Amino acid sequence: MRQALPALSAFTAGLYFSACQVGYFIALEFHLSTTFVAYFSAIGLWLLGGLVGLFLPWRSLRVPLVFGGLAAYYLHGFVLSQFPYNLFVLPLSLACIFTTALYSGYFSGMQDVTSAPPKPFFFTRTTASCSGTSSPLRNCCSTGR
Amino acid sequence: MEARQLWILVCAGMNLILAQYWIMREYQLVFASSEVSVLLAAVSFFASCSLGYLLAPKRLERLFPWLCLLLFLMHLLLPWVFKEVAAIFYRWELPHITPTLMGLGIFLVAPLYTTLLPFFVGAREEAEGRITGEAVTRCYGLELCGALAGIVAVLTAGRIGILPLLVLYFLNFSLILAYVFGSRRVLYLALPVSLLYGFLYLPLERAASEDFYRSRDVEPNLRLLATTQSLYNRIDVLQKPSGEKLLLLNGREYFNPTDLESFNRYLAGIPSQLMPGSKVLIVGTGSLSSVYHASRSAATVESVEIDEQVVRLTKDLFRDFNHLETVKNWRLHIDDAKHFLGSTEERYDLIAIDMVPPVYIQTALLFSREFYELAKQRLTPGGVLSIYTGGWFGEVDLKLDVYSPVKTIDEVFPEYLVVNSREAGMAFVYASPHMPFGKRELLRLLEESGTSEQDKVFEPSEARPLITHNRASSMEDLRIVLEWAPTGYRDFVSFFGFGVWP
Repeated sequence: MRQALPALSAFTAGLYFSACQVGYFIALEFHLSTTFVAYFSAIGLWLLGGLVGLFLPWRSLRVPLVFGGLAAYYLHGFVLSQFPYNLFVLPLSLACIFTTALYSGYFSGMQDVTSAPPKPFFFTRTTASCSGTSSPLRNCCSTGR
Repeated sequence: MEARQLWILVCAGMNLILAQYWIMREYQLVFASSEVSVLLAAVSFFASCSLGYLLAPKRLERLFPWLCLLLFLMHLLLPWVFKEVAAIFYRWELPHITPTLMGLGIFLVAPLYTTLLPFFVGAREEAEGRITGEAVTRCYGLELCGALAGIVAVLTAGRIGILPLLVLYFLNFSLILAYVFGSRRVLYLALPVSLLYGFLYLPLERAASEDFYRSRDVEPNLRLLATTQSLYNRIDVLQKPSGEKLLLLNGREYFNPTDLESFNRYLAGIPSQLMPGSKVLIVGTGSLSSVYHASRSAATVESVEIDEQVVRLTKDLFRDFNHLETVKNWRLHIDDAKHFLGSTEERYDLIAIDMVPPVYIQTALLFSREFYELAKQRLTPGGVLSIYTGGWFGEVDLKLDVYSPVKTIDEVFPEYLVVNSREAGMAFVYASPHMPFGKRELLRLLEESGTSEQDKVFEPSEARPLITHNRASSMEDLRIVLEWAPTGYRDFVSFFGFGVWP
C-alpha cells in the first residue's frame, strides 16, 4: 500500500494535468480563437507555470494551488463563454492557464524522492497523460462541449 | 561520462517540443490528416515518452552512444523513409497499415530525450551521496526551460517554415550526441551533417512526397508543382499529365478544375448572380476561384482565411481559375473565421462557407448550429448564407440519426433553398432570414446555364419531410469529426479500446 500510494498519486496528477490542458485548449478553440499564436501561447504559459511552480519553496501550498488552479480553470470557462471571440480576454485566459499549471510543477518538485523515485514517478505521470489527453479529446469529438 | 553538463537537458526539452511539432506536421500527408490521426499521434507521443522514462539506464552504457548515433541517422532519414514505406503500402493496396507505421515512427523519436532526465537525476543523487528532491527540481526545471525555448522557436522561426526548426532540432541532437559519446570530434562531424540537412531536406522531401502521391492516386506521371508547410497546413499543388492542377491541403484534395470548379460556381457564383451589387464574404479561400465567381456580380468581395500561405501559393498557381488580375473589388482578412465573424461590426449580403471538410474540431465548429447563428447575425436583413453539404440531398438523409447540414440550417433559418447539383456532385443550401430570391428565380438561372434539367431544387416544405430523423451538428454534438475521419483510422482506434465510436 505504501508503494502504491505514490504511484496512484502520480497517475491521478497526470490525468488531472492533461485533462486540464485539453480542457483549456477546447475552451480556447470553441470560444476565442484557433490561431497558432493563441494555441502556442497557451502551451508556453502552461510550461512557464510548471517551471515557476517547480521552484516554489514553501511546502504548504498544495491545497491553495489545487483549488486556485481549479478556480482559475472554471473562471476561464465562464469568462470565455460570456465574452466569446473577444481577444481582450486572452491575457486573462493565459493568466488562468499559468495559475492551473503552477501545481503541475509544484507537484513534481515536492515529491518525496525516497518513496517516489523519479523514474517510476515520471513514467506513471506521463502514462496517465496518455489517457488524460485522449479521453477528453475523444469525448469532445463525440459529445462536443 | 559526467553528469555535470546539465545543459544537455535544455537540448532534450527543446527537442521534445520540436519533435512533437515536426511529427504532427510532417506526417499529415501520409496519414490522412484528421482529428483522429492527431489524437493517435498525441497518444503515441506520450506513450513513447513513458517508454523513455521506463527504459532510462542508471549509467549511459557503452551501447547507449551507438544507439543514439543510430537514432540520429534514422531521424535524418525519417521524412523520406516514412513516405516511401507508405508509398509501398499503397502500391500493395494496404493503406490501413499506415496508422501502425505512424505509432512505430513516433516510438523512435521521443524516448531518447526522456531517457536523459532520470539518468541525470540519478547521477546527481549518486554524486551527492544522498537522496534529495533538489536534483529533480534542477533537472526537470532545465528540461522545462528547453521546452519553453522550443515553443519560442516554433512561434518565431516556425513562421518561416519547418526547415529552420528541423535544422535547430538536429543541432540540438548533435550536442546530445557529442555529450553521450563524450567526444568533441563527434560534434565536429554531426554539426556539418545537421547544416547540410538544411540544404538537402526540401528537394528530397519533395521527391518522396511526389512518389507518395503517385502511389496513392495510382497516377505514375503526377507532378508535384509546389509544396509548402505553414503553421496550419501542408499545402501541395499537383499537376496531372493532362495539365490539370489539383490543390491539396494536408493530403486531401481541395480543388480540381472539373467538379470543384462547379462547386465554386454553385457556392458563390449563383447566389451572387441572384443578388447583384451585393457585399460578399467568403470564409476560406482555397484556389480563390470562389472569389472570381462571386466578384462578377458583387459590389465587394472579402475573404477570411486563417492560413496566409494558402493564399500566397494559390494566387499565382491557380490564376487560370481565380483570374485575380481582373478582380478589383477583393479584400483579404487573415484571421480565424469564428473570431472574425464574432468581432466584426460589418454586415454582409452573402456569406459563403468555402471551408475544408469537418475533419478537425476546429473546422467542425464552422459546420455547427452555433456558427450558423453567428453568421446569421452578420447578415443584412435579406442576406444569404451559402453552404455546401458534401453529399446528395434526399437519398442518405432518410437514414436515422445521420448528420444533415440541411437539418442544421433548418434549425437556424426560417427560409432556405436546397439545390442538388449534378455537376458538383453534391447539394448546396442558400439560407436567409428573408430570402431575396425564390425557387423560381433560381430555376430560371439554372435554365440559362443549361443545368435546370439535371439539378433539383427543394423548398423547406419539400426538404423537411426528408430530414425529420436526421441530426444537426452543434457544439454539443461534434460526431461529424468522427464520421468524416478516414475509415481505417476509426477502426484502428476502436480496435485498441478507445471506446465504441458513436
